[in-house]
Amino acid sequence: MWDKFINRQIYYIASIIFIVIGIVYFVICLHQPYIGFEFENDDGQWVVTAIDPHGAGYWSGIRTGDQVLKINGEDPGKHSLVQKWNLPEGASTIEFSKPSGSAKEIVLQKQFNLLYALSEIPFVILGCIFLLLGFMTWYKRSFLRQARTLFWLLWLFGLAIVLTYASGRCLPLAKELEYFAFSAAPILLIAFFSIFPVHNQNRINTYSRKIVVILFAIILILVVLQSLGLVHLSGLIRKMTLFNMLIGIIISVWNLIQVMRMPKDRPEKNEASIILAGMMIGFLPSVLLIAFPIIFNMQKFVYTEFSSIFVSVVPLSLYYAIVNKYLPDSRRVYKTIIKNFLAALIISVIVHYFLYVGKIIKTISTETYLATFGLSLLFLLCFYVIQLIIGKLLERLSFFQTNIGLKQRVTELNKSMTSLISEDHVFEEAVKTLGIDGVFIIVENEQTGCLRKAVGRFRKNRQEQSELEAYFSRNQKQDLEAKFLSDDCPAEIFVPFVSQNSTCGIFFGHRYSHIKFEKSELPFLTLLAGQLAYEVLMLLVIGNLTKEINALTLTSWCSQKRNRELQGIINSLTRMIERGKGRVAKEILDGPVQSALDISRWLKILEKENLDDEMFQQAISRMRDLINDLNYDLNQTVHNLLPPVLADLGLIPAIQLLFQDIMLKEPSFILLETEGIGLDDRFPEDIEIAAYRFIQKGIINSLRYSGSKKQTVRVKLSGDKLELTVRDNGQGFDLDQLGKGFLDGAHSGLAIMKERIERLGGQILISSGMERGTTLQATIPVY
Amino acid sequence: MNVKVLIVDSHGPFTENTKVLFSMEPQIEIVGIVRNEGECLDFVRQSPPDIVLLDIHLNDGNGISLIEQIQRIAPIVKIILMTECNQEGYVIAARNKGAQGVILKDMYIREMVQAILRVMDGGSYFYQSPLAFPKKQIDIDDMHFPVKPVEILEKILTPEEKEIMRLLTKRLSNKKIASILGVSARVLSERINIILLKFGVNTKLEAVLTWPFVEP
Repeated sequence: MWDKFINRQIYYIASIIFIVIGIVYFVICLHQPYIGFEFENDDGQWVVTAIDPHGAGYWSGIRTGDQVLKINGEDPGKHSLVQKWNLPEGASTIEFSKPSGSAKEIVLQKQFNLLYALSEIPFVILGCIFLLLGFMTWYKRSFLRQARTLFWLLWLFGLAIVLTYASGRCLPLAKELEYFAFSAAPILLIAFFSIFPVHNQNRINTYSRKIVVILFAIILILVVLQSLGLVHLSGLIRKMTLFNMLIGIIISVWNLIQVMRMPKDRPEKNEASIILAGMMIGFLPSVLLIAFPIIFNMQKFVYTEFSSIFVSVVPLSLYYAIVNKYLPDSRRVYKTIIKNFLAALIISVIVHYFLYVGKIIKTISTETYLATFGLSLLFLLCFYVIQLIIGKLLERLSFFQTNIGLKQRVTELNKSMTSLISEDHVFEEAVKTLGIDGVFIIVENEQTGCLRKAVGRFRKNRQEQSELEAYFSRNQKQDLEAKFLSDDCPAEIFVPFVSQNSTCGIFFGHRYSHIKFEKSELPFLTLLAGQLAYEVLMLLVIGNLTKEINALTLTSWCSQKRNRELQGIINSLTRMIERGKGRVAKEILDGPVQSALDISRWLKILEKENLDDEMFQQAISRMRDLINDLNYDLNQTVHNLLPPVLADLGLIPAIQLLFQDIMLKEPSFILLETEGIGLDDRFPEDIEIAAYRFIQKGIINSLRYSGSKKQTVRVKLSGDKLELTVRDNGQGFDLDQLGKGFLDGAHSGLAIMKERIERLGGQILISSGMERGTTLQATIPVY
Repeated sequence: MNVKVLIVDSHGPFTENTKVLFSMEPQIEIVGIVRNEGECLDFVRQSPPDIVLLDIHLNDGNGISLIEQIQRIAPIVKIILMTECNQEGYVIAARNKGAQGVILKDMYIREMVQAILRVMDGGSYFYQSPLAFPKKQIDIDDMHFPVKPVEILEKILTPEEKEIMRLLTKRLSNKKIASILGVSARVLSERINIILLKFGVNTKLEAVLTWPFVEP
């Protein structure tokens, strides 16, 4: 419970207390006039020693050295606050006399004064900023010890600032609270800077913290005693408080300097630099407007309170350094500050001079110059802030899509670039997103050759392409900087570069809006061009790889298909061989074997029986018939297996014999046409057999399936090629079905034939169609 | 004077039987039996016979190609080719190569002696079966049906042949027809050949196409 309270709730409560104190004292202050002078009792005479120009006393004519005669109609020593703090606050009437002798009485009314209110607002704002920044730091980084310490540090400083006027008016408890805050602040200051930017728990920090804690305790005791009226040591208390603060500041600055001496690459150094820069900015106006006049003994400016607003930059820089993980380079920050400071210096000199010439100011003095200088700084700051705000607004409303738009588009394009597969899309997308009328890219690579890509207006315009190419070859080797092209050139920007052994050039066309590209857009376009070229190169490589992969896939697919085909062919071959063997066996068993058995039977009769002549002759006749049958059947079988005439006499005699045989058995005409080949022409055995089988298969297929009564066979020997054609005018068949059923059923013979002829280096051509007849064609190389 | 004959044949038992058959013939003297090309050429080179009976099928080659080789060694040697089947192509090839005769291996032995003697006398003997396929080029454009006057066909065809023709027009295969008629394939084939001869045609188709005119 306590942990939780310490961890979170106490911060909320502290903030609420702060706000309540601030509001209460602010409201009271509005009705309580601020008299604003100090005086001392010098042998019974109350002489004014210091006077605040903002106070009512000053306005009423009281000056240093005047003698205060009476307060509220009594001796000043009897006034309670004078007794306590030596201040005339809370008085309603003051009677005083000038050293010249004239006495005067002023009446201070407890009423609302707008001018007072306005003059007090800056401090209230400043205090609130301190609190707000502390709170935000804690809220955003509550787990950081630095953030928690900063909260309390800023809380205390903010409280002290908010209480400034209240304590000036000696409102009840205001002075005590202010002293408390001011004397406690150094403790936290040292605590904070000993852990931020780096932990630096060395002896100096430890001792100094002890000292300030002791001082804080002493001050607190003294304040309580003073408040109770037991002691009158207001001057001492004030000095001690200042001293305490001084120790705190010195130790803090020492800590920062320690950090600044760190190596350059440490992020803490950068943090310290930014905090120091914040301090410089924060205290500069105060130094200019308050410290300068005091040092040079000039009159203080009337409204110096506004300069105190700048002090808020100090906690702001602390907040920024703690909350933000990534900080800008402090050197750049300094550069900007110095740049603007010098600019303000120059402007202020000029403006000051003109003001003098224009007789707006009467004399040239440091005072007026400093005022001008301050105004110039303020002007520059306001200028930057307003510019920033307007820029953001316009970006939000997207009025202009020039510089910022381009950035966004390039970003968008990069996002979508990876998803664009086709190279053309990359360019079309580029053209579309940039709103330009075309892109032309040239990539020259020694290995892959020259690649050109044109999109938009350049796509079909050869003339412009060659114009740009000429420009590219002219400017290739000069330098690698993006250039604007002349107005009469079809493209507007040329970006050359070298990447991966390739020389590239990208031409960007004009904007559709006719707005010229700005110089500041060149880096983006260069970047984009690089990416485009890279994409193209990658796509080129990928394309080549894809081609290779496709070729490999195709080859593998083909060989797989081929394997399946061959498997099918082997299967049908095996089937056919077995079927053929079975058929031959059956043929022999049915014919020759039976005949031989019969002969054997008749012979036994001849041997054993004593036959008469007639019977003998009959038996002999029977036997002759049987033997003839046997011969015939065996010859037929042999002929069907492989006709001996093919081996003995050659292709043409074998074909002739085949046709004669078929024509005797089947009702069909077979016409043999020969060209360039004679009866005596012989070829290697495998070619003769393949050719014979091709023709035999063609005729048998035709007889079986075509229904044609006529087949024309053409055998032609031309050069080293044997051309065989078997043609019929039958019903034909669908080639698609042939493809599907090539390996099964009727066409497996054709598939095997095809294989056989291709083995010999030949090829088969089948052309057929429904009702168009069929033509089988084979070409076999013979030598 | 006996005729010296060399038998060139790879088929052992057939050769032996041939020798036995010739032993009955006093005019023929079998001077040697060789089984392959090499032996044949060696024999011819050393002691050329009068006649070489050359089987067309040898273990290590083809009888037809051997004809030229023998004649190159000994041009006076006469050669008679023996074949199993009666085919025109063999006769032509053998004649072209320079053989003096072609005989069938199943010929009657006396006929074979006749052939040998005729060749020995400087003649030639080319066996031709009466059913051997006639050499007539088919001219498909010059076809006309019926191929012969119907009355003549009606007269010359026997009832059995007419039955065969009826079966043929029914598009039955030869095997089937043979089994219907109860004859062997050889017998059917011979009969069809005879029918075609009577028709005066070369192909079954012509006969089949003519038949409807004879017997509608």
